[in-house]
Amino acid sequence: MHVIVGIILIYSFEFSPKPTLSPNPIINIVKAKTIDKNQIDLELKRLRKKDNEKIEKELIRQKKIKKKEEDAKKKKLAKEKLKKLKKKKEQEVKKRKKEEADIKKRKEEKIKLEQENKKRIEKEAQKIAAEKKKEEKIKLEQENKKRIEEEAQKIAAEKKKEEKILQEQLDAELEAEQQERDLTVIQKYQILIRREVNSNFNKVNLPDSLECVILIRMLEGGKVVEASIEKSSGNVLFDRRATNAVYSASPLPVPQEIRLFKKMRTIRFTFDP
Amino acid sequence: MKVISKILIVSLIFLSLPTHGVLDIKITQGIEQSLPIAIVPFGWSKYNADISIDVTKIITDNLKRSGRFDVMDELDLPQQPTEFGAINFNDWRKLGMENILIGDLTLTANGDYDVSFRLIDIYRGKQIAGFRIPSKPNLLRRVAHQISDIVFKELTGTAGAFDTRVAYVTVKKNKDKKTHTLQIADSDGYNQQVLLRSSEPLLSPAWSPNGEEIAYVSFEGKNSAIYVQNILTGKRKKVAAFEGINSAPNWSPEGSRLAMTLSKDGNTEIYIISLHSKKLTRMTNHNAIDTEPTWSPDGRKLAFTSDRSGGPQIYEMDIRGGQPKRISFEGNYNSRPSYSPDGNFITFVHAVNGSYHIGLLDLNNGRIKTLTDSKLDESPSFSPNGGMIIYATIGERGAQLAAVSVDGRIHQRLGLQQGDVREPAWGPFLK
Amino acid sequence: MSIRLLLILGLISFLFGCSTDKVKEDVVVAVEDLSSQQDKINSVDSDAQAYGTEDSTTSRFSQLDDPESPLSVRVIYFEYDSSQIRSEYRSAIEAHSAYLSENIDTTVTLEGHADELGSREYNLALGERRAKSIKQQMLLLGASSSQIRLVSYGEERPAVDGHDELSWQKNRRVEILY
Repeated sequence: MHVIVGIILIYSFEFSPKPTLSPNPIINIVKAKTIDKNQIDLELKRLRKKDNEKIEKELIRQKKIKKKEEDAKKKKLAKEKLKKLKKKKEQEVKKRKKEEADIKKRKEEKIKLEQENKKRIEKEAQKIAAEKKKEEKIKLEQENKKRIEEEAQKIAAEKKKEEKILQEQLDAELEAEQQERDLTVIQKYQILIRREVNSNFNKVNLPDSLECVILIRMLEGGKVVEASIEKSSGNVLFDRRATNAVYSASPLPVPQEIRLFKKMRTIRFTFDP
Repeated sequence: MKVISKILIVSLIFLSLPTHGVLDIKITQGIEQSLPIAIVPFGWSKYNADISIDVTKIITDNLKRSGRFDVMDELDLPQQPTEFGAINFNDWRKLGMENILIGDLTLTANGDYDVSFRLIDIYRGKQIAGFRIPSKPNLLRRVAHQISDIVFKELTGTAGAFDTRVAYVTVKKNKDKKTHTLQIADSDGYNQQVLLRSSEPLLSPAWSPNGEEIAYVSFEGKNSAIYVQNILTGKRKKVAAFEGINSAPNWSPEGSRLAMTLSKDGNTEIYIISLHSKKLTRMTNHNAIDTEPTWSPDGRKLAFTSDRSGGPQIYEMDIRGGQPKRISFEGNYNSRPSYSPDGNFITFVHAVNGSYHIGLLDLNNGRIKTLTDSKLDESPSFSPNGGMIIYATIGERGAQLAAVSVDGRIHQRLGLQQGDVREPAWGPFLK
Repeated sequence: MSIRLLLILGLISFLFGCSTDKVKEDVVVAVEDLSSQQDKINSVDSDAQAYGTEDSTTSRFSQLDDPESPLSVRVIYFEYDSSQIRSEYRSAIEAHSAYLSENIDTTVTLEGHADELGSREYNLALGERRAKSIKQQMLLLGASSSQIRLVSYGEERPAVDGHDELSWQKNRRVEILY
């Protein structure tokens, strides 16, 4: 657990960048309105749709006009054909002139229409472009806002971190002091326990230079509830005497403070008389 | 700087906290103490309760007498279980009693007994050893000794010597007449049997390695002579009755030869006789007193007493012959050597300023330890497990037998009988 | 006539004199109060009674039984752990040796003993050595080997049963037994 904490701390140490501000375009942020991007998108969509519809309508209208015109044309042609038949000769010239005039007119009208259409389309395009530009502007504005916010957040977060680190430092120092105090207390109990077990370890007639390791667990109050041989001495009697020593010495002297007790509730005894 | 200090603090936290919360403690000392044990009176059924009491008492007395145990008083027993299931482990743990012995005697259909017992490890809640021993009624004493040996071995790590016998000489004075007897008894002094009775002196009983025969010196023929007697049958044969002294018999480890002291050739010298062929081999050739030969357990050497340097000292020589080498250098009187079963020590009579004590010579480093304070001690010999030395002493109650542990800490008096008791010899392990 | 009377008177007085010179019944034993010693000496007495009138044998047993004679010394004492004969016993040993050399049919047993200090077997050998040293002296002074028998009892037959120096002194001895 401690290892993880430490690693995190170290990593956090190593990777903390210097808090600097990146170069920013100066933007007038007058209205700090929170613009919902989604709404903008929807608006854009709607506008586009509208435009498209407009254009479509226009195109349809134009189609209709064209059709009407064609119908008119047809009618006219038919009429004129009759007229022609009647006044063919008379009006051939007139016709021709008229036709020419009409053609001209028509051409001019066409051109006009086309121009108008063009214009309109251009206008539309311009509109769209303008709108687009607007959108972009808005987007940019938003992005800048965001960036600034993020920067602000970053700064705030870093400040927090620093505070945290300071706090942790303080805590660590306090903790260390506490540990030192605990250590002395625990060392004291270590000595007491060692003395108890020493005076209960009956080594009469045991062969020299043997060693065994006994692992014990205690309940609060020092009562030994589990004693297992972690490493046998190879001599049954030696192991048994060591185990008996620990049980005889039970309950072992332990601190009353539970927090401290927990730090030493498991003890590894090495018997090496 | 900030970074460094941070790292330091973190590492401090690592170092001070025990890894995984386990505290390490090293135990480098200990105490030398007698081992606590509770002996619960053995259960009985269907017959005379006295017998089970006897078995329990024999075991209790044995373990107490050994000086190695702290036997719980019967009145302090929290319960008296006779089988494993009836043991209340908590009761015993509360009293800090590590080991208890429980048992049971049952009479079988043919009039014999079944003796079962269990030695329990209270802290672990398990049985250390448990046996069922069938026994004829007249051998229950031996069973009690065998159980004592098993308990002793399990808890001290060394073999017990309770199922053994000792031989000794008694002298009783009746007006002006003295009666000498050669007797054997159980290691606790009970079950005494007279092997020989005589109006003339007896000395130096020596057990054969298989425990079936005893060699001894008798003056019944108006001179010292060596006899070998079968313990079971009582039959005996005269092994050496030469002119002069015939004494100090000592068996070879394989049991077919006797080392002895003879002065038939003009001076006390050491000889070896083969019991089958009667072939005699002379080992020493010196005009000094050479006597009290004893065989090393590996059969390779003889230790003996010689005063060739002016006063009695201990010498060792190779069984194949050669120059004896002196091995005792402290004090002006050292005699009657006897090897320990493992061949590392010799016990002997060690006199300092006219006080005769029992000494222990460490053959590995030549150091001598004085084991007794009493001043008229003699005839030391080891128990077969090498833990105790039995010897004769003279105290307020006259001549009696006593025993001392090899480390000198445990002292026992063997109260065998009235009158003088002397010349003890501890027999081998019984089969 | 008066000379005859004188002779008769002399004879009578001589007879009386002889009777007054008869062997005394009570024997003064040098030191021991061992019953066995008593017996032996008493038997000497009874022998003496049998041989009451013969000159030669009378003189022999009078030597042995004469409390004034050095032959009456029947126990020789020794120092601790020693078989050296003390000078005070020289005359006694000389007397015994002379007696033996004069009476070649007589045999003597030298019984060696020791005090209880130290080990038994060693003391057995020590007793024998003490007896031997006396035998050697005797051989030098005219006795022959076949007349002297040696036995050692070591510490097994103490003269005194105490556990002190006085008792031990009394046990470190060789007994000369005829």
